[in-house]
Amino acid sequence: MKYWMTLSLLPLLFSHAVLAEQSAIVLKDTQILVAPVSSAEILASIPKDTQVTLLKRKGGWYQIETDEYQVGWLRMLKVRFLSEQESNQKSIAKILRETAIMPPASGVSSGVRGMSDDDMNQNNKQSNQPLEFDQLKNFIPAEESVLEFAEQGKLRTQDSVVLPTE
Amino acid sequence: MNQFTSQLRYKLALITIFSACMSCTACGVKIQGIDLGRMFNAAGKVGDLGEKTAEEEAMLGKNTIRALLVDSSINSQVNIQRYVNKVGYWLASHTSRTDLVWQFMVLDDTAVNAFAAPGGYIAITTGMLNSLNNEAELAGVLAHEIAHVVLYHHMNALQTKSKTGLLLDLALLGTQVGNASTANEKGELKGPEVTGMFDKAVDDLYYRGLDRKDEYEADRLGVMLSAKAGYDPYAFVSVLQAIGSREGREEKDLQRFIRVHPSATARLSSLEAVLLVTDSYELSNRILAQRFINNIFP
Repeated sequence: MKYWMTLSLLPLLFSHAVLAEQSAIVLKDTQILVAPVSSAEILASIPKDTQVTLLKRKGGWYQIETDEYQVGWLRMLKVRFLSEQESNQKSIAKILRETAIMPPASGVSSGVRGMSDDDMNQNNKQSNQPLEFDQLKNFIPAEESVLEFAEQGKLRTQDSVVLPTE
Repeated sequence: MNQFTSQLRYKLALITIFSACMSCTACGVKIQGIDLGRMFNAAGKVGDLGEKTAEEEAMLGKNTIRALLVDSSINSQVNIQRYVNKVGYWLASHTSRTDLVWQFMVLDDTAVNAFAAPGGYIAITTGMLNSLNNEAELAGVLAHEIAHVVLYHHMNALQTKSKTGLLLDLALLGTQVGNASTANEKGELKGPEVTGMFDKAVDDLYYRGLDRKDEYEADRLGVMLSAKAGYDPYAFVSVLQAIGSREGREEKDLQRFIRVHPSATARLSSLEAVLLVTDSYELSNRILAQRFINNIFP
């Protein structure tokens, strides 16, 4: 039973971009919805400048959480990410206001991987000299390998999208 | 009532865009009444500078990328180079420029940056890769650069700079003379002088950046290209939002990117209409976070 439940959750996992904790601010008065579709039921209205925590993303929607409101969804373009500095300032203000001990906001996320530039450079050090420009042509993939790569990633050409340059 | 209101707003937005498009004289591809040609002024044409051959474009590109890579080192991780090339080639296969020999490269540089050169050269720094979370975000960044090439932005800018196409001649001549590493037969032209002039023009363009309208145009085509290739087009919105949160911090690694691009806020506003268009499609919206991690951070 557990096995089948896990399997049934897999599509959900792969259709969402999971966000490391990221604070954002609402750009204008808006509504949060119960689901990431325009026709979904409205959960609450939240005013401009409300600070929210982004939990995950689905298409053009963020799932957000606020202290005051329940978890809900709003359009991606309705928010601006807070910088690490802004997040911390707001957290401190909040601590003073609520006279409660809170962990500092983690601020800007480096993503789900959590790898620093140093780590990346360290990886590079393990290998040889930088490549020469002329070596780049060796990485041009054969057409079949590109198609195989797309297939493996379940990438399909979306014929409905017509580019203006076509 | 609320459902009705949001649907009404959506329709009004479409009507507004449609109305704006009706006023244009040259109408191109239309999607649900939205003239995409209006959003893309260049629409894949070389500007008023005459048609250039593919050979000339390749020559200009090769000289441009050579000048840009003088102080750069190309990342030695073969698997990363292969992966980025596959993502890039999958995207490029959906453009009108399948004739180009595209070359994608990862540069060792902690600065957050990516750039294109005419002829299909696309570079992305390790600093930019490290700031991304998934393959769809990588695709968004590469698609923006691919769009610059497809729309001939750098080529037009370099030629406009030379007014009469002199720069292209310099590029051609510079390669010939540079290959010979000597003066021409009459001794009138020294290789380093020619390549020096060309390099200066390239440095100047890439230091100042393209016209801002070219950046907005590349954003819009890039988002549509990502969507057409099956990626989640909103991944690029995430990239811009993350960069926007860092813009005010005067980070050394972001200075060059900020200097040559409009603000993230302005770019996001400019994308709203195109995102409305992509919203109207049923898309597969692939994100591919794990594949990105496996390939970039093995």
